[in-house]
Amino acid sequence: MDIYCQSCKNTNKRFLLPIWNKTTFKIETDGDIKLLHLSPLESLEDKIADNHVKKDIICRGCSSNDIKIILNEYEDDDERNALNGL
Amino acid sequence: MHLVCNACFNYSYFTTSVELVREIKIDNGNIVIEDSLCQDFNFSATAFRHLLQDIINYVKRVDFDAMDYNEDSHCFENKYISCSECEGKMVTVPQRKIKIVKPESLGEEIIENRKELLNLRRRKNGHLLPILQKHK
Ligand SMILES: [Zn+2]
Ligand SMILES: [Zn+2]
Repeated sequence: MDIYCQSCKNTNKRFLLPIWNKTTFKIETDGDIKLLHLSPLESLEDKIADNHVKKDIICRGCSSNDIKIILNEYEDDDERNALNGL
Repeated sequence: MHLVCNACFNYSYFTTSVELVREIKIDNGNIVIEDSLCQDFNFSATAFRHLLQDIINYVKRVDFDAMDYNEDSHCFENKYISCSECEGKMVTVPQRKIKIVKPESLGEEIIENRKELLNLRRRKNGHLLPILQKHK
């Protein structure tokens, strides 16, 4: 798998991916916030696989979202089916 | 107390949705997802904490504008923050400290508080200022 920025040619590192998370927190009496729990509301795999549509991934170097991802070719049907089932 | 659940009166534990920005890189053909760091600065954690604080501050500031009417439950529900104790969404800013019987007009309120104004003036100016008499 490869990922690269079509704007600055940055390749395979320094890409930012925002993911919505559900978080449980405590507000202390002085207003301080304590994090208690964090769970993703979106699938990372879907985000990466659908990036050509959603354009959520951003290059940290140049802030462009013109990112190209070349996914791995899966060798057997089981792996392909597993990916489809994600 | 900063926020309160109007169903179970929990004022400590709440839930909301916040975007967490992480960094991805490819290592030997595999995706690695990790916090975005900049020297000693953890951008992912800091941005997350700021966003969470922004949501809380926003809900506290706009107060009733953060609520939506739910036709099914016939209740106003918070659009952003829910209660972690009862899972309810009737989360609001605690009742403001207002007098139950508020004077009708600004004029009435000012007359009611005249003594405080006089005391304030006396503290500032001693007895140098004339005290206005009511018009007959
Ligand atoms: Zn770039
Ligand atoms: Zn509650």
